[in-house]
Amino acid sequence: MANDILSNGRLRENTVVQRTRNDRGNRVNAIFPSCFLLLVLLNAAPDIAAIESRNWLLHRHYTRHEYSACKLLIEQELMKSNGHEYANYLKGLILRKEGKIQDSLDCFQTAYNVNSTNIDNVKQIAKSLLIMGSHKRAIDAYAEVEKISVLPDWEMYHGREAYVKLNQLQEGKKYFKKSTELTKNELPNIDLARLYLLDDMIPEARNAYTAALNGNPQSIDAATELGLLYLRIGDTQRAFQQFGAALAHSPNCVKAILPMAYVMQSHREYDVALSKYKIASQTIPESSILWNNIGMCLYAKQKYVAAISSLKRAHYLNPMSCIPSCNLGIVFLTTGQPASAAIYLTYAISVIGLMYFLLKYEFFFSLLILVALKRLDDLEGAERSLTKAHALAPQDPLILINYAVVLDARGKQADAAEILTALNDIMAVVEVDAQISQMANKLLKRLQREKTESTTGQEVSTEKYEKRQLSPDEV
Amino acid sequence: MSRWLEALWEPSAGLFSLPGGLDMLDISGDGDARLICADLGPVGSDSTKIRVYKGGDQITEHNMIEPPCGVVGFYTENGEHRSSVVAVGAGASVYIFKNMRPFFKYCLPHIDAHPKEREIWHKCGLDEELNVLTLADDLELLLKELGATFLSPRTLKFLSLDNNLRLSFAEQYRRIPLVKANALTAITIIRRDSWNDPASSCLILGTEAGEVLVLDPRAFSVMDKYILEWPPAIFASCGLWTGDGYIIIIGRDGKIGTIRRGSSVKLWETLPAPAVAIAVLTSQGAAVAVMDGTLVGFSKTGIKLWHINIPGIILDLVSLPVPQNGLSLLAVSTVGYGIRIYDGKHHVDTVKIMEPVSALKYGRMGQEERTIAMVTVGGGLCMKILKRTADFNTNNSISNLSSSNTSKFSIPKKTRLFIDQTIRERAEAKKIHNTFQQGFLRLRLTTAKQASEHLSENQALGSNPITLETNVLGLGPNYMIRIIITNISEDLSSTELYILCRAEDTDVNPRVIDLPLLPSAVPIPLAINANLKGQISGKVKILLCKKSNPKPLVITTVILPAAEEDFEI
Repeated sequence: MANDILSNGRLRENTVVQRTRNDRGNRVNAIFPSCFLLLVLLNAAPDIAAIESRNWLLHRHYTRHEYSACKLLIEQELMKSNGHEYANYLKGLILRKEGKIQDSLDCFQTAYNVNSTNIDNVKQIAKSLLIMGSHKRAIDAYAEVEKISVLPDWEMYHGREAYVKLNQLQEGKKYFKKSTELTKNELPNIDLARLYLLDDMIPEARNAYTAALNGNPQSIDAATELGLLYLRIGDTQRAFQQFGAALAHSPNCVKAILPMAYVMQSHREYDVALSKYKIASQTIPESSILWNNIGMCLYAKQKYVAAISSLKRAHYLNPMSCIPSCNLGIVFLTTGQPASAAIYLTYAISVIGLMYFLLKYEFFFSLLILVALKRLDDLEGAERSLTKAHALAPQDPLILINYAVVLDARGKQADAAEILTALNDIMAVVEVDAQISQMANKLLKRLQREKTESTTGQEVSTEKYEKRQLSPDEV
Repeated sequence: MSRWLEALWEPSAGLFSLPGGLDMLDISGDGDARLICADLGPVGSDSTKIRVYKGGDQITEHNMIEPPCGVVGFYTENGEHRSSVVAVGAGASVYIFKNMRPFFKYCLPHIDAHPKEREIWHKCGLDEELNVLTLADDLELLLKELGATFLSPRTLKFLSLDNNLRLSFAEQYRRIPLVKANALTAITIIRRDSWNDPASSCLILGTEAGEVLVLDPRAFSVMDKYILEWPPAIFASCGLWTGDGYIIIIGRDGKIGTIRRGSSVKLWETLPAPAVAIAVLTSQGAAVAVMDGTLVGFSKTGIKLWHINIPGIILDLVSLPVPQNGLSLLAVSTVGYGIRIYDGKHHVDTVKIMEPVSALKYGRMGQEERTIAMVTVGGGLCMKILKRTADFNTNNSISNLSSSNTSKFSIPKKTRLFIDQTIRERAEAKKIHNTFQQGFLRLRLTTAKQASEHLSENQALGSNPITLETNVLGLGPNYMIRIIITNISEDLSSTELYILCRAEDTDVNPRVIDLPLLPSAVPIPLAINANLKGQISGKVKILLCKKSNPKPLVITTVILPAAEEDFEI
């Protein structure tokens, strides 16, 4: 046994050698508690433990989310010595989780002062700065990381997302690209793809998403966003595949369920879509979009009362969105309630300015209002809405014919004739519905005969608009 | 039907253990395995003990100076039951117990101190007379230059001491060569060269300086040494060290990699968050519990095979090999969701327990091969035995399906009233619309009227060109309020202005003052006597009004402080 003791890994050990001699003499195995007695007898100074000796304990408490215990121990360690790098570092991490970003930054600064060669300290400083919105300082800090690090690291390039926040997209792209080359992690690829999407660079964005998925086949973010991208370029088949892949990994993922159900809905598979929405409603019962789509599904299944109540819920959940109110208008038109329809449609058009991407539909809304007002014999209102629609889409044959009819009914034959000439010009270039051209001819003849009884044909033309109800019920 | 037999539940055992702080070993070679437990004591206290349990009874305990980062039991000889030893890693040493008696202490090799620092202490050791001030200055300078991480604990302690204690401290240490102490971060074992039980195992030690040391089981000398440059936090081992075995190493920041004998560290990847615990699977891979609440399965070569989300916070993870059924299960201890048992990524069972379990250990206890020992966060000790009849193959998929159909989905209903209204609207849409339009118009009209009225009223008052300045004079309870009125417009002020005082708890005289025509830019002083009615402070509102106009033009409030009782004027 004594030989074992001699092979002790300690370099400098007068006392141990001393002790082993004793041990050998007494045939006692090395007993360490007595070692301390011995040390006192020899009047030697006790070893001072490394300040890092409890790092493992701090780390273990931290990984178990036992932050209060961890903080208590950290304070004990910092009492002993303020130059404790890991305790400061960990304190910073915990404070950041608690939302005290500035305090966390101070802790990382202290850790950096203790050891300025550790990349982690600078990285965390940069991250805290990024969270605080000090993007310029964050970029400087990441540049510092790049300077002192030996091996390049994807995080230090990905951290340059600060450039994106500062609207320097090209710089951001450059660093994200560098970052993607260094890691299998999906984040830089997804961020890169989002930047490409902002610039409408669809193929590049698609490649980035595919790269992210190759590295992490289970990434739900990448799969759903790629699916949405396919949906945007009209490739429903592949979009469907991506959403399916995302759902296979996480069956309750709303981000994939909603667009998937939307695809089904647009393929007229309303029951399947409804069952998907049911699953989604467990997770997001207060989503206006979800209830809007449910409402339109029910509308398509001709369950009007349920559709109205779902749409009303959607409208209640997000009153500033014009889609549910517009759809409500459509449903009310179908159920023969033009007064309610008119109210909701007017509302929709008054909030449409908030949703700029829907502005191209504005003329269509005006048309719907016209239908409602026409049924209510409010010719004055109808003319107003048509004037607006005409201003928005001066070449749409539907608007032109209706405008002409309404102007005629209001007794403004001269204006009506003018509109009809414009319509004739368009009909010469574009193929239009037979009904429109018939109506135009009829009206033209009547105007030429300068007769004013033109009320008969109008119902026919107005009924037609409902066919064009494209129900803009996208997500 | 539970798959577990309750063997022991001792809620007040007073144990505080962390993962890696439990092991089971036949310590005396009599065929009965005991539970060895590193009890860290309540958080923040320094009462660390090693306790040994036989069933529910504690048989021995040893006090420790430093909290142990791990306890492992192993054999030093192949096929020799009596060669069992317990290794406890704490501070900079590994304490080895044989038959639970202190047997050997292995100290980690020291690290060389920085040459400059060594120079300073060396010089100080040579001096006849110790000059503490110079020493402190030199070290202070060095600290600023290098940063605390690169200095030895001796220097840091010296600098943190009070001035009058420094002398004795320096005197005590200055002639001892300066070294930097190392610290242990993780400890585990790997079988040396035999698959038969009992087999000798090598100790694996990880240090704060970023080394991995593999110790020979007989001589406790370093067989192999690897430099990582980052401190390992968690180890797992697989296979035979002298054969194709390997050690899986996880760093604090989530780096994960392996070491094989004779080759350097091979990094797999960096986990998305720090790891909580690792468990080896018999199929040669490993499962890692990550701090972000996921359990990740890796193949032997480091390929991510699967990952699942675990509800609640993960506290510990152990593997439960059940060779009889050919299974290698995983037990995950969670906060609030009990101990969840997984077969790969499938959740197969949950062991419910009153408190979250802080540390787990599965193995042979007493005579029972399949015991799981649990130490709860509240300090309780619980042991359960896996039944021999336990079958984990059934109802794997049921739990997944049932979740989606449970809660019902309801579309809001409409009342009879709503239907009636619909019918009425269909019949009389025009009328409704007209009424609405009329009402709407009327509403707009009223609003516009109100708005215009409001605007014109404001105009009548105009922007007020008169300023009012008030001062309170006197010591109380009789005060004088001095008011200075200035017309700051260029013209004469309008006529019929007057000052009105509204008092609370105060007598005011006079209450109303008619104002003369105010010339431009000439301050006009007025005085009002105010007497407090009682002991409490009073309040006077001073309003500048115009006759025939109900609204005051300017309002000022004056607070009269409570009078000092002693003063009488």
